Amino acid sequence: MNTEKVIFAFFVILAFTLNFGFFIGDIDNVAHHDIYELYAAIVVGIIATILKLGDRSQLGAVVLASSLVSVILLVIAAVMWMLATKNGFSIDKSTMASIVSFSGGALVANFISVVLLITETSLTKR
Amino acid sequence: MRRPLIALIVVYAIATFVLTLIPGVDPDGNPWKMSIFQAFYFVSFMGSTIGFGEIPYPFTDEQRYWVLVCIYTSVISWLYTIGSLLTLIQEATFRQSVTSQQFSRSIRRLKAPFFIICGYGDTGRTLTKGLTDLGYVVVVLDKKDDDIKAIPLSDFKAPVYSLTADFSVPETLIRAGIKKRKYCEGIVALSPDDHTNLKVAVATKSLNQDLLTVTRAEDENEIANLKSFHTDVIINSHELFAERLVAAMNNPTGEAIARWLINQQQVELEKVEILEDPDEDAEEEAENASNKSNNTDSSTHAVPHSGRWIICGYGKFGRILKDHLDAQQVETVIIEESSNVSDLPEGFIDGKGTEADTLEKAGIYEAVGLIAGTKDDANNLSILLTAKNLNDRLFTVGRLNEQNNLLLYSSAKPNMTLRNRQLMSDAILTRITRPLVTRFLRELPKLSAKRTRKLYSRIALLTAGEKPITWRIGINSNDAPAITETIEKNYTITLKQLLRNPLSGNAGRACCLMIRRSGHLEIMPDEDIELMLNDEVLLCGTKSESRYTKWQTHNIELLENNVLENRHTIPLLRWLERKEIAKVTARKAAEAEAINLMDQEESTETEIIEEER
Repeated sequence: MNTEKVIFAFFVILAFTLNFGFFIGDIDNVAHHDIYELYAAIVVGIIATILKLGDRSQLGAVVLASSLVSVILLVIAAVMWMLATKNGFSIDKSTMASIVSFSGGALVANFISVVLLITETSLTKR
Repeated sequence: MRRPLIALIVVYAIATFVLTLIPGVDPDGNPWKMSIFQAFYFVSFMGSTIGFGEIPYPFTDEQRYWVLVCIYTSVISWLYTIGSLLTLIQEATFRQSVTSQQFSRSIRRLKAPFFIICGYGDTGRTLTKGLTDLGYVVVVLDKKDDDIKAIPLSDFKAPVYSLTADFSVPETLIRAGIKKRKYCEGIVALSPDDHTNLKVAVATKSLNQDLLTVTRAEDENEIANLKSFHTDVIINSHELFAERLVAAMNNPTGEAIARWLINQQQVELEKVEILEDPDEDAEEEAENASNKSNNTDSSTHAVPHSGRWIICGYGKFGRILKDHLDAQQVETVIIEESSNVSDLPEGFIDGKGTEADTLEKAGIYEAVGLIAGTKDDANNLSILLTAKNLNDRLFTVGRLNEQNNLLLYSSAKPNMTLRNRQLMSDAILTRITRPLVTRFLRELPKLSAKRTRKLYSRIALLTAGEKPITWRIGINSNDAPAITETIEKNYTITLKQLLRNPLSGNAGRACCLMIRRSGHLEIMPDEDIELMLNDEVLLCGTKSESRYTKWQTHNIELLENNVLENRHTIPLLRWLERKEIAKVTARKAAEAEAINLMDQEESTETEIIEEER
């Protein structure tokens, strides 16, 4: 067992699950989506990206790319949230729907990361 | 590098998160909490110690407690990150990988003819200087870092790229651009180890077969091996020197010309005396010239060819010299310590040669020449000085091993000095950058003694005390656009017209050594010879004259002025005159053709008559 690999897998899966936790629920219902979950998903996503930096394998490059995609999409969602809530306004339904759909895109990218991670692990086992 | 980055992110994330949880109070006294965006903004300028103040509202004491914690942790994590970044940059392996990547990138982007030099010792440096002076880009490879480090500080006239790497590995050669067929002109292997050079040559021949490969080699087996796969040029400095010594014995004038043509990069000038008229009594004048240059210490004209030669030192150099002198049936005596070498020839004298009695035993009083050819410069110097004291009519040859000792040698004044590095780099430079000169040098010994002397006095007269240089003109649209254009318009240009000085209108201070025309060589051609397309002309003369001929080959108006005597300066008149000349030439051509035709008709008529009969 390799500690580094455990840590990496931990962060990739955590990023995926946090993202999923934010995404799940009614698409336009503000009460179903927690801003802190989004925040955590971004932070964990960035850490996972940095952990994959410098990996020269083909699979590693794809994991890095998908992590980058998910971070970028989540940051866009966060910025939208920030703009919508400035000066104490509450978020309207259409903005909420687009924020959640961005996080849905990030979820797909995170899912790809997890799939690649599992593939890589199964390849090295054999 | 990941650890500090992750630490930084974690510190920022926690600081931001906690800030959003701590309650604050706005100016109206209402409870208020930071949004994530506001908290992140605050942490960002706090962490980087910019400090815009407590934004948007002054903090409560609870918030300040937390900010206090954040300030210290974020500053520490920044220091940690920057510190490890700096360590990474300063690390030798990292720096090496960066310079090596830069090297590869610049080679990939290189779009100019270049040479690869493997081994940057004295020879490599001289060769690099010579090649860059000619405008070639040079790629230098060496195993040792020390010499290469000086390259960026040196003052070369063209870019020199260098890499510290083991050039016996083919990978390195590929990175140096050996496969760039369009731009790579050749590779020179100068390692002192023959086997390394062999590896380079093998790799070159298997990676890019057509590439010009020059290697230095001294060992007989390795030379045979190199020859077996057609290495283009194998340079053995001892062999080179021995050949030149023998050439100087047999054909001193030819050797003097060869020396002029080869040593073009050397700064020191060999003064040539002005002769009155070479044509009237060329031989005598040439003798005079050679006698005069005898007075200068580096002359080889007086190399005696009959009599006993003493060779001190019987290493590789001594052996090769003995072989060459034996082939010329020159009597030789070897001086060498018998404890050093086992297979000494018969009649050798045991000793160092530095003491008078050893030299006396070798017959120094009867000898005509002495070669101080040991590996130790101090010993060589001592031999030279002792020998000169005993017999000052002796022709002395000194071997210089270290370039640094040149000053010492100039005080001993041997008649000939073997400067290993200089000799090699000159020879290589001539071979790779001036193929036409190389070809001419091969033809030179075949000339008759009279013609050689004539050529010598001619060059001496033309250059009159300056150093003669050679240059090549290819009659094609690249090298000589003006001449090509004129020839294509059916005008004739003779060699004499090309050599005419455009300023004075008289014969210039240059002569033609050779013309190569479709594979055929014309040595010292007659000056009335007509130039043809795709000729290669090798000229020899003064440096300023080479500039004048370059004007003529590139400037059509100057050429017209000089050759076709179209001396108008106003463009319209010039154009009219040109038309006139064209008409005259056309008429002449037509007349010539008509005469030809008439001749043919006459001959056919006679044939018909003959048939009728």
